[in-house]
Amino acid sequence: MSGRHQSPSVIAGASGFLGRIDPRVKLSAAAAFLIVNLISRTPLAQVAIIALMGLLLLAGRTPYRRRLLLIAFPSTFAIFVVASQTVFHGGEVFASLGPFDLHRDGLFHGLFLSLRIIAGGMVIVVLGVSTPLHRLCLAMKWFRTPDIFVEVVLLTYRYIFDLRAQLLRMRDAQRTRLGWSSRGRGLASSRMLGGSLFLEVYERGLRSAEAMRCRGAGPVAAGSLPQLGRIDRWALMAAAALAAALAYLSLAGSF
Amino acid sequence: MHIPEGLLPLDQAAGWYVPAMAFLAAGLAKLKRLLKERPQARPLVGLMGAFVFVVSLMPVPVPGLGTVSHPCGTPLAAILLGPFSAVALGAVALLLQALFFAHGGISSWGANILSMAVGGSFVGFGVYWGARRLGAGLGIAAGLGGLAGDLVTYAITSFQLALALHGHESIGATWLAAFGSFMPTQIPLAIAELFFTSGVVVFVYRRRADLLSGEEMQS
Repeated sequence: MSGRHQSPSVIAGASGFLGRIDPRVKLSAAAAFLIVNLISRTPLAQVAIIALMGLLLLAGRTPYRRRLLLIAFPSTFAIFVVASQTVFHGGEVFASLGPFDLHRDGLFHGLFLSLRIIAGGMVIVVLGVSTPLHRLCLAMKWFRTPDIFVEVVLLTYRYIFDLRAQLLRMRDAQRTRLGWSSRGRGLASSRMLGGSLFLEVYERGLRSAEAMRCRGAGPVAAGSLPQLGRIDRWALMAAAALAAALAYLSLAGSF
Repeated sequence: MHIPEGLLPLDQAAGWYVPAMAFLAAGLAKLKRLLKERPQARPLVGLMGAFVFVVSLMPVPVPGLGTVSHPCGTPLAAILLGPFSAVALGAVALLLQALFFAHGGISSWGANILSMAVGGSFVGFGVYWGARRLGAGLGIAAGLGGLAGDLVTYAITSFQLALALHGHESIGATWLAAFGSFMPTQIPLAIAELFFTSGVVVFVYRRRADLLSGEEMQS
């Protein structure tokens, strides 16, 4: 698989010590951090989470560009939220920008929200880049997620790559043979190509499902996934203690 | 459309989770029955999940709103597999996008499921079903379903954003501002979804009519 076909989950296995942490511990810690991020009333918790997640991202061996790309999503949202809240949130006006009044309350609220968005986004990015999907699915199973949900996650993940590969093949073929001579023709051929793409991937999937059935796969393959071993209780307790301390500080108003 | 992690306050995030999980449970039960009765439907289920994932991961930034526009794909999934199954597939696509692309979020997963998976699937399928009952052709009905599902998704997202961000303004005015901000990017995307949904459904019907949901087969 070439680099351009790799998803964050595929490269996640190579992200150093983070990749070796039990996925159940990572899921629990991520959930705790996300809750703390939402309940804290002052920006200190968000700043602490951003700093911690930033350090973890740096310590992991995720490619530099991938890290920036993943953080770009929440960061872009955060910038827009500051701008829109400053203009639309209301409250005391501190300046005007053309037809728009800029509000002090809105600016502070927007900045607080943007920190929350970046902190939450970074928690998810660290979880995503450090945990391959199959490990996450094993952890979800351990947390009693229904087999059918895990099954659909695995099926969807697998077909994303089939769909993408077929899409690129068909797009290249169309470019080479005919191109899109006009918008009308482009639209008409896109509809047909969309249908062909759908059926091609479906029929290939049917053949591979038939092959799996011949090898003895049941209707819900997630039911036969291996179990994770004993959970690292010390790591889980450390994550829980850290989260509880953050939650206490947040609720007490120190954070 | 995806509301990012951290944007919604905890009470609202939890509030959106309750109905979303009810729909998701119903969708998973439907999918479980489908896979038990027709194991050969596995590729179709995986493919539709992947389709929703890919289609709804083509973000166009919406200036001033802090979110993005994109097609949904859930109306097409609902027409091919039924609305409940499409809800489950939409939810899985949203979870994968949040986990591996930081597109959306975990606390905002419930809100995103309600807008894109529930709203897009049920309204898209409802409009398609209604149009077929009124005698519309397959392509027209499917296209209208795609268009309606897409626009309703954004109407619901705008309401969720308005509830979270209205500040000193009224929720109605904020909803109008949010929905209006989406429109310049969303109307062209909704029209594209109309043509795409229509084209794919007609193409699939001509080649593999058995893949359309039972509803279509009866008409």
